[in-house]
Amino acid sequence: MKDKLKALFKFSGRTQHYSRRQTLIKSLFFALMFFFAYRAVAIHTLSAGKVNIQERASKQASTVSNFKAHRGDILDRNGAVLASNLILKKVNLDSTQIQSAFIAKLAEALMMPKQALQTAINKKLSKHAGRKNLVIRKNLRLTSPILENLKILKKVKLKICRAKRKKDKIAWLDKALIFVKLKTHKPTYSLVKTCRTERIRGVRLQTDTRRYYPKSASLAPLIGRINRNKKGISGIEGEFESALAGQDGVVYLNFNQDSQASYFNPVVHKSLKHGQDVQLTIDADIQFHAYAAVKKSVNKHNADSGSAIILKPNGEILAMVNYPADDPNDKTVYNVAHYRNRVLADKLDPGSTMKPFTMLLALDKKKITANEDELIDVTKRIGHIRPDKKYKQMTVKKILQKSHNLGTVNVAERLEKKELYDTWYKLGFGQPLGLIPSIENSGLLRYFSSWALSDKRSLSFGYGPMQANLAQLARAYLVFANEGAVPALKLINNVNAQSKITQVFSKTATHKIANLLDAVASQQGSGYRAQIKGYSVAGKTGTAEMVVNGRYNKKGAKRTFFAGFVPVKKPKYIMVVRLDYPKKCYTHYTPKLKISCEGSNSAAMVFKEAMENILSSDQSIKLLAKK
Amino acid sequence: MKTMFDKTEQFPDKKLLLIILALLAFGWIMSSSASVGHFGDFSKTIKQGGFILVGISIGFFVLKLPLHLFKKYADYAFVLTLILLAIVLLPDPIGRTVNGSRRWINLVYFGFQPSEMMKLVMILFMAKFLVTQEKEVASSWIGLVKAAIIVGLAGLLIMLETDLGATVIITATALIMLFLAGSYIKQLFIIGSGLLTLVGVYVYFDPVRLYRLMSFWTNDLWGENGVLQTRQALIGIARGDWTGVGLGAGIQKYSRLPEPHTDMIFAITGEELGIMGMLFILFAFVYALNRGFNIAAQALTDGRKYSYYVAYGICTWFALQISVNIAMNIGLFPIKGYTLPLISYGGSSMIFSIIALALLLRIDMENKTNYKKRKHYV
Repeated sequence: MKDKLKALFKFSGRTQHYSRRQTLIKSLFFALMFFFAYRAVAIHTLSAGKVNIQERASKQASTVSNFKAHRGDILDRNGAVLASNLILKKVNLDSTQIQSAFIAKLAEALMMPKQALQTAINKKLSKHAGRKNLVIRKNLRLTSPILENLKILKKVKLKICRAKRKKDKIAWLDKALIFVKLKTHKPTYSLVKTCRTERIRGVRLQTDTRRYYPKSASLAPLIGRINRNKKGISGIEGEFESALAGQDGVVYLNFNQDSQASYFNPVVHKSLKHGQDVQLTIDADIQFHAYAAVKKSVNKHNADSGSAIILKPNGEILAMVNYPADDPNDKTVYNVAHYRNRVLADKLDPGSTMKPFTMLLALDKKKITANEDELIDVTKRIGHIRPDKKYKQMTVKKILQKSHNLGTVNVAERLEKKELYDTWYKLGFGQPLGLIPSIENSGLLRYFSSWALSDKRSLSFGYGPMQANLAQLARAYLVFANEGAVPALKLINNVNAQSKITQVFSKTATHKIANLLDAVASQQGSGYRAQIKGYSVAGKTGTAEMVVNGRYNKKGAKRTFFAGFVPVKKPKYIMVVRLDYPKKCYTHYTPKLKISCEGSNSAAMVFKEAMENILSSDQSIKLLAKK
Repeated sequence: MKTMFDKTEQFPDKKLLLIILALLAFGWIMSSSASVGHFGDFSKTIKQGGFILVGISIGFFVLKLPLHLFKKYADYAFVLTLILLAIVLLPDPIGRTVNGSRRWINLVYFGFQPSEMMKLVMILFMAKFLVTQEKEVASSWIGLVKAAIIVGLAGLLIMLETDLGATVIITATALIMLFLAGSYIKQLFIIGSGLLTLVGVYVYFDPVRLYRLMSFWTNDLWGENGVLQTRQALIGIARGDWTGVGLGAGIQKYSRLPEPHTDMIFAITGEELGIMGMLFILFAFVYALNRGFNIAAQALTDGRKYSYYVAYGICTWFALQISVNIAMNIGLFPIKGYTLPLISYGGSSMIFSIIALALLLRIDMENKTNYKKRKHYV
């Protein structure tokens, strides 16, 4: 072997080692080819910069294209728009592209001082070198004159001169001398001016959308709003986000032959689906009247907050009002508390507004007759409820009219716990309504086996083992419009939710109590301030002690209610009002005389104010014959 | 005319012929795929088909010709080729410039590239030179100087056409033939040093060029100064994986790779047919050239030196051309104008490659022929 090698590289003497030399060349070639074969496989494991080369290859071969879905509108029951998208334009300047000769004209078109535009562009160019997008104008309506100005400006041609640095030419002799290194050369440059007429460059109009709420604050807590990423965060916008937002389209495209920029063979990853419209059962007009009344009352009575709900007899929600509320179109203001939908999100003691149901149950179970001749003794103390000196014996009508606790408890004493529980359960207390599940508080109804004796008594006038939100309370009042039955509530119009109607009370009993409630809203009843001239109104006031920070407030914070319906026979509107901690209430006869706030002197007035306006625009309800 | 169509009464080597035809078909399909993508029509496919047919026809004719005819007329062929190389340098209607290189003689329908012809003619002529001047080559300096003049003359003309690739291939082939002819290693070493000195002088006057060449290996390929085409070639191959993205489905050929149908055909194969396609090309060539080298060795044992030199020269030429082309396709070598024989698009290169392989087959046929008939064989 050693000899062979020596022979191969011998430097003298005749060499004719054909076969050895052949083998050398051949082996070299084959070795090279096998190395190439290895390399051809090994290429796939290389890393191209920071990523694997195959990853980079597949990235290069395709691109992703996105399509934005339009967000759906929110409509009321009559098709009036409650939330929609405004199409706006923004002017995006490419500060590196704009010719300086055009700046004066551009400033004029944008209706801004030339100096301001110039400094904005200079700032962009200096501070963020390499960043060229300068949004100089945004939220332009389609009618904005700036758009028209820009259209005209884009047609204008100006003579633009540019100076370019160019290398000076050198003579061929010098070139040759430089090549053979006989002369050193430093290239010199000079500026060459070239002029031509050009159109303006680097002005782009881009489309933008903005969510717009035409009804402003009146619906804000119900509708909610969207965040800066155009995603619904509260209310209807948040709850129905997936339906409203639709689905942005994502399409993978493969490389196309025509140019590096175009792609073909689309593979749809996510198909584009525009958002659906959501139609609510809300009536924008009724909502407005209710909102105006609540707002006025909250301000007048200096209440912490106010809310109201108006129902149709079939359970459709016509209005859902919360105050205070902010204008959602004003992006500078955002107070979370003002977007709280108190109608659904707060559970509370409904207080005296529950008394009619106690009476209804007793009547149904034939424990009372509720006739004028039936007298209920209210002289004996029951539990911790003491008799007052004003009344000794009362009719059921009187008990409701005066909202008498002891009288109600007396009636309740004749009922079984189970009967009360079953009825309250059937009325829907403690069960979710399913309107806006994410914010809804479904209240509380403890099972009767855990009730103490006092629990049953306090339950009869709206305290104790039961708490409800305002919508649940309003739903219970639907029994008066449905001859003792309660239908399910409905907020979304274009959904065919199966409406489940539960019969709770008998037809005759509800008629009887409805007539008694008519008397409440009369000159003798606690609801005297809810009377509406020309219409028969029935209702019940309520005043409940407020729980603040987990305990009943010692300063006497109260929550006042009024639950009513109109007209008494075949009711058309059922409205429940709630005011939190009204602090300034006045007597009826001397409007400047302050008294403590009750349902009668605060919430009842909201009912009247709202209903008056609603009824006056409803032709289907006939006025009562003048007496 | 008795010797003109001297029948060997043998068939060409079936295995070699088969692999050549397979490579031709493969090449035609691949270069079509690449050119259809790059140019958007089938003109190159049709042209290449024509070239292959012309090549095969001429090759068939060459199979009938005994080697001694080539030996006899090699001088004339060499002079003719030198003249053709000079003609290329004539102004435009005659010479043709593509991509800044002046390498073609304008024949209206296709450009004839004399440098491709020179690759073959140089082998034929060098073989004759080595046979006739064997003693000088092996013993004295005169032979070596003569050989240097031959190679230098051709090399100079081709250099003037700025076809550095062809110059390198021809020079290297000639040197390897000298090496095989038994010249002293010392002499070859001296010639090699001389060449290196020439390169050194050249580099001294134009250091940028060397730096540019060296920067291919010194710069990070994926960095800022990486060579874009090499990067894209590798990306294409990486995209192919084992079985490729499918014939015609490659994307690198459209605009990212220059000359996908000629120089970068191997990378296109890697993308469209994957590692399998690349390995097919590699091992098909290994197989074909192994047979070629064996044919050359057989001719030597029969004492037919001229045939031996020619066969070896052809194999060497192919080996060099293939190695350099594939090396630049897989990112080991900067991209220059080297075609892949039998696979790449190109009339002159295709036709002369087929002729060369026909010669190889003819030598094999002469190897196998009846002893009595061999008296004229060289």
